[in-house]
Amino acid sequence: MVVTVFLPPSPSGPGMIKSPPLDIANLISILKQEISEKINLLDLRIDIINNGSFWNEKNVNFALFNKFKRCISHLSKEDEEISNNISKILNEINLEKTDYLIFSIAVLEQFSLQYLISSLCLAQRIKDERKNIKIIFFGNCPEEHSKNIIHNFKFIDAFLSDGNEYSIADYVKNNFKGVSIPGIIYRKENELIFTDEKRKLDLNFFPIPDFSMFDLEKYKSNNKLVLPYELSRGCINNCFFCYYIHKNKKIVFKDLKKVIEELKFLIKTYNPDFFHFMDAEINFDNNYLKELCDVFAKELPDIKWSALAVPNIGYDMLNKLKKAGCIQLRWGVEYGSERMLKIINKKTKPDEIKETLKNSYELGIYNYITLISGLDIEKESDIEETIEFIKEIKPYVDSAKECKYGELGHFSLLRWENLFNEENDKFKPKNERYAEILKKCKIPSEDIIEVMIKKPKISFIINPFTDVVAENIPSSDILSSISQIDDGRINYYDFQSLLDKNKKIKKYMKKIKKRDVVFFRRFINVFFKLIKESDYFLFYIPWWNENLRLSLIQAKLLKNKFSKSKILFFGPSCKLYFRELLNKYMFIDGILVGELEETLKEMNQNKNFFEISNIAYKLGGIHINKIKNISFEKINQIDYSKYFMFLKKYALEKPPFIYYELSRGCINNCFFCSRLTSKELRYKKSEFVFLEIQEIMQKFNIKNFYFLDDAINFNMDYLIKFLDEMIRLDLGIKWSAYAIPKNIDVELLKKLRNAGCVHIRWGVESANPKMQKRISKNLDVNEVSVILKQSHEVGISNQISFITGFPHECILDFDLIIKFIKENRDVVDYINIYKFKPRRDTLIFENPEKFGIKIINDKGIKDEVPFDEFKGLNWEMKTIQQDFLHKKLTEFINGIGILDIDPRLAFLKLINHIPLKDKK
Amino acid sequence: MKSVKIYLTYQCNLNCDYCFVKPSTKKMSKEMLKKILDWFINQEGDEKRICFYGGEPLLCMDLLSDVRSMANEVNYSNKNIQFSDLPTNGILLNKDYLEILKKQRLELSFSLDGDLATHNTHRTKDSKLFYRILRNIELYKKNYAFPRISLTIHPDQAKNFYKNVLWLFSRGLTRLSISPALGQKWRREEIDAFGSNFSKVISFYFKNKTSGKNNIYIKPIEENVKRIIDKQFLENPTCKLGRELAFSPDGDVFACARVMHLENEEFDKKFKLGHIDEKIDLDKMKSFENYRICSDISLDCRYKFPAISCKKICNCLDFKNKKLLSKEDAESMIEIENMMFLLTYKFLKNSNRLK
Repeated sequence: MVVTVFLPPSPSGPGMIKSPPLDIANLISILKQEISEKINLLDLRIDIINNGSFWNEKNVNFALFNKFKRCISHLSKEDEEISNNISKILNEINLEKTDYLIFSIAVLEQFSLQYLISSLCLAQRIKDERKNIKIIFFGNCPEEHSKNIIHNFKFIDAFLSDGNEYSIADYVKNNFKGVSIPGIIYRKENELIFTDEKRKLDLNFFPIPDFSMFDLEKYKSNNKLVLPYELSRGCINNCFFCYYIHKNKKIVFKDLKKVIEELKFLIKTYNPDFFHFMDAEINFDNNYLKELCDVFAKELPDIKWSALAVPNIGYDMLNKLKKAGCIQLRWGVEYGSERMLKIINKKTKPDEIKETLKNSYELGIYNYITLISGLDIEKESDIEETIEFIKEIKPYVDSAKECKYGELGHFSLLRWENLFNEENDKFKPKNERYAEILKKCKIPSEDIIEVMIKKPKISFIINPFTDVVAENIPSSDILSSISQIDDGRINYYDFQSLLDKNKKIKKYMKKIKKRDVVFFRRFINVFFKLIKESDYFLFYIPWWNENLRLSLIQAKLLKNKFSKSKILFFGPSCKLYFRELLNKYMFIDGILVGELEETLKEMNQNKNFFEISNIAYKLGGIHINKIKNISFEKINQIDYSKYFMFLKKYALEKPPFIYYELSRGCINNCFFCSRLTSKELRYKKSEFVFLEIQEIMQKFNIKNFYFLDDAINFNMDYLIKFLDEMIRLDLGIKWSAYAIPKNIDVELLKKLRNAGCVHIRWGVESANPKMQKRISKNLDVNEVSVILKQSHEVGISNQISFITGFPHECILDFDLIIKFIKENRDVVDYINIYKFKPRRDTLIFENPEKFGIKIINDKGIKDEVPFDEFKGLNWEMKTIQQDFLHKKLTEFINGIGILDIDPRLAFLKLINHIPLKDKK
Repeated sequence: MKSVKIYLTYQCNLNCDYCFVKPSTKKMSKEMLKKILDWFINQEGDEKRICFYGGEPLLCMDLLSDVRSMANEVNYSNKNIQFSDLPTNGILLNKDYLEILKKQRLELSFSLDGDLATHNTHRTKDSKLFYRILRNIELYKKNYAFPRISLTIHPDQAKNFYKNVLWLFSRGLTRLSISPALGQKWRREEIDAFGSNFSKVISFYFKNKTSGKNNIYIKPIEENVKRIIDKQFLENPTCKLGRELAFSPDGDVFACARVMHLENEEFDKKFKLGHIDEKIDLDKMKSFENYRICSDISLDCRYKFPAISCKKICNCLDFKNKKLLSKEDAESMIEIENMMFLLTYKFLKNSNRLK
């Protein structure tokens, strides 16, 4: 004997969500436990939910099943088209060995008119063709309706009337005896057998729901699986308009011990990403809920779940829910009219609802609300009040669903009554009452799971800055991050390039040279003309002084316009001042305090914002999430296509070179260094490197690369292998890299040159041996001179950098830099003089006394931390010293004809005239 | 090379206890002076400044009475020659000397540490001499030029020096040069007293200056103000080490006009550049341009910026014991030097005179 559980196909419609049905999983589990027959599952529904091509290829017209009156007529008088449709469906299934065929007529635990209609049509034909098969209708259909339907449609052998899955198992075991079975109305010959005896529902005796027969891969959205689960069954309310089978009943709860065991089992067996608790409302019993939260936090710290709830939960309880893994609540708001809330006995008030939603939002729980319209008793003023209420709660609502009475879920029984009892289908679908205001408020109507798993829109905003290379060169960490996610909805706005290179924008901005009010106004016009609504706006702040102010203005305006979008700032200094930024600017939702790649991955996976790695945010106090760095071993190849799409979209020229990183991290321990990326040194797989370089060359015809590695010569083995392969491939590229002038011989320099290196940035920093030790750089200035000379001789252009104004630096350091430059004048092409900036998150900041300084007044949002030297200069004099020495050195360098320009500009100059290979 | 210091004699008619000049009666001959002028005036550069030093230069009136014609005689290229103020104790000045000085267009700078009590603490015990100096200053002022006064502040007089400035101003002596006495051991309270007196002098100076009074000048305040405004932070322009020579009365040449009085063999060797009759090592002189005192003395240097005392080896010399001062005493001298600069800076800043 074979029992087949059947999820019939039907057109996609209200309430259809991408989650394996819990009632079926319960039924399968109970059948497996209670009967010895073989059990099959025929899931003809999932292909339709997935908009698959299977049924289209079979030319099945599911729309016919939405013509309810025609389908009901077909049941008494054959409709040829419907009949053909049914034949096509049945051709695809094999019921040969089936003895019991259980039709599921529910969706999301609620009766579904669509599935009833399609099930009736299919069941009739099956019964016609196979008289011996027992047809069972299974779903949450109230007893009165079940009796009515089975009475009228003789091909139905049994109908579940109490919503208890055990009743079905009992029927399969005992129907042949002809005895009454609680919870089942069944046909014995021409007689309907049923009983008023009630079956006791005890969820603690239920076996664990069995999802093993579903093709769960097909139930995944964006590779995420949501499993349904119930903690309780029943509803204490008795709403006059509701047809819910378990309404006005005592709530039956599962013991928490069982809940934990089952959830652990389900997690281990099916590895779901989320659970959705199907309970009519999760907050029937606050004590149970409190205990549940405690036990979840302890036993299931990583669980993420959503649930239905009545919006009358206080902040503390919401906070508990949040800590217990609640990421979304589906709130039965129903009306914003106090009158209607009283009438439907919701036990909530608008102010209370608003407060609940606000608290929930602030705790980072997604708010999905349901609204009702179309009850006969509602007045126009109730709708108007609800519309006003929607405007008030707009900032806190992530998604909203309007349930028109009579259409959705168990409400549709109203229509069934109308359909079945009247000769004509008098049911007129009511107009949506809230659609307009929801649209105006930009509140989407996405279903629960869609809200949880939808891919967010992420926009990167790169603002124009001054004094740096004004070319369309994409930021490497942004591109690398974008490449790590599959099919993300990414927008890339590089305003630096747009302002400089887009003809239209250039024309609009052309008369403005200074960063004055007119510039800002025009720029903001351009900005809002181009920018599209996104879930996340990520502002890149590479240069504190140049980017911060403008970005703050934009961010504030964006937040006003798109209140639900999350605004994030990232960049080296943002990391250092995340507390100040978050405290001062409420419109900033988060600051990136680690590497972008992992953060973007989790963002794209729609992880709860407050749990995304590497983010600091303000919620009451300031919180920092887990720091996760990208593993270069597992990194995907960089996908440059999005960047080039951006260039194409805005008619921008291709960049003269591309930033590229072979490695990330640093082995040095310079006391002044602070970094956004992790210090751990990681190398990219060599095969990716060559593939990426060749792809850039071939696809985009770019042959110049600017390596961003902290030093190209940290790992000599890697470097030599890289150079050898570059020489072998002979790609004809030119590149620039940063290197440490230590342990480099002429042979290596020749190799570098032959591999395309035309420009090396050498960080010398100080010409004073004592200072070299103090800053832990430990360079030997004599060795540096030799390396520079040899590098020059093999045809590499040398750019060196010095830092002035180190703690306890004196005139001697200045003298020695001058001396060094004079001695190496002929072999150095460019020199950069930087001022020492004491920054947070550096060795010197952590241990100031070790370096003879005292940090003072670290309060402002500036790109440096003031300090006094012990027995030395106070901060005021120190800054004067730094400015003075910087000016003097710059004057000196300019005086001897050496350029102090940005290394990227230097490289740009070089690539235009330096030969590809050294002739020497 | 723009300037040269020429010690006409080491001899002096006083015996001030803080004087660093080596005790000697040596006096320069006319031939020697002529030789030095000839050599110096005909070195590169059109501008030539000559500073005569002593001992007491007025003991060499025979040389001074002819100095301009001597200089003109060897000025083959018609260079612009200027003579700096002659530092004098003023005792020997009389009408005849004044006429000579006027004729030679040589002006004087009088060493006067303050009122009678202060001046006579370290210079002379004779009150008659003090009043004679005052009379001579008056004579000079009346018959020739506005006198410049040099106050040397001995540590034990640091607490009185503001009072002495007021006293000098009350006598119409408003062009002052203030210097801490070299080679002394300064105690902490003396340094602090110097600082608080110097602060008062700064306020007093600016109060008078802004009230429009003429002929007010206090060195180093005025120089420091200029340096601060011009952002000349690297070194003290009054120290010309590496850019200037100093001649002893017998023709020896040194890179520093003060080290030559230390009478320390090692330092003589280090700073001596030759003799007018032999070779003068100008390259060696230039090498002192980047001289830093920390190459000779180990210091816990608190004054890395402005670098106004980094070259001033004079702050580290212990003339009495013919060696370098102890580390602590040298640091005190450097502290005073920098204090004068920093207090001036602070005053300018707090009174919103800096933009």
